[in-house]
Amino acid sequence: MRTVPGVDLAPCLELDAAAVDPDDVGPTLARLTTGWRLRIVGPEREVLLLRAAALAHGALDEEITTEITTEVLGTGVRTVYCAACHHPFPTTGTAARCPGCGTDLDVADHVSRRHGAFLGVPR
Amino acid sequence: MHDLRPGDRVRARSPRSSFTPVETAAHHILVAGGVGVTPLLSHARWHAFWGHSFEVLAVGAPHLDVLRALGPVTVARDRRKMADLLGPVVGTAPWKSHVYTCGPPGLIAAVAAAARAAHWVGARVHAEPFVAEPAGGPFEVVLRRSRRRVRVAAGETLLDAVDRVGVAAPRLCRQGVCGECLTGLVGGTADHRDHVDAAEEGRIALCVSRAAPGETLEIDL
Repeated sequence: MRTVPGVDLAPCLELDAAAVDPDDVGPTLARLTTGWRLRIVGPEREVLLLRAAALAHGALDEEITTEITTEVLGTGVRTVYCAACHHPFPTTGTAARCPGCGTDLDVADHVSRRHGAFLGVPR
Repeated sequence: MHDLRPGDRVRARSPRSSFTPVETAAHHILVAGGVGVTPLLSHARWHAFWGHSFEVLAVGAPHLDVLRALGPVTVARDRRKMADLLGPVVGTAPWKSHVYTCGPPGLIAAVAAAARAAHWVGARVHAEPFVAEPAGGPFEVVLRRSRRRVRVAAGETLLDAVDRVGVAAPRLCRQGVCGECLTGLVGGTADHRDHVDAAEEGRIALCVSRAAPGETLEIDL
């Protein structure tokens, strides 16, 4: 845990987004007390998904900090949320065909905190 | 309201509140000071009905027998004893807790301080003061669309002054809670007293807010 001399820092749980399954974050958080902060570190896609899971389990925006370790943002694998059928799927680049419904999608810059995904807009 | 008689027809809408339990909370801490217990009785009944985890901290509050029948209640003899209670309660509260205080401003401040000391973020701390805010001094307001200049007397609300000159304005709660009377603030600096963050939208709650000292307001009415 980080310390700063003379400052009473909030206790902080560091989560390695590449190693923690978003489905497991609920029980992990349930062991904390209110006042704890979360620091989520890892590649962009995993950080967004873990952050979305933490929010779904009652964490607040103000309690979460993130650090993306991907070298260049937006160049790695991203989760895309299909606007046509709501299927989330991983992809790279700015265009993709949804494996759920076959719709051709443009990947927008809009990212959803709740889904941890970028919006896929039908062409 | 006072002109109504039994049998009169009224138009009603569902209630609105700025002091509601947070649905996602894992545990609710209700802090009641004196008659501030009133809204928290409703909270406690709601939590007991739905089986939510909650506890009550009370100081000088009536209806303790009702609360005790609903869930755990801890009573502090005075404000200082309450301060001693608060630290351990918020310091050990489970993840996803929220605290709700209704009472005098001093109690609300004490709860906020205890929560801050336990590193709680502000969004988990809720309060409803039951002491009316002091009235302000007189000021002038320009109603831009009506091309009127109205003097608001000390002790008169902006909404009452607008009514007095016959300009129609929306309203509902008259307590700065519902947001119905929010009106565009075009000029002047306001003393915002609403609970719906009108200032962030560049608007003003006619029912409770006033001009800052020495300011003349211009509103989109």
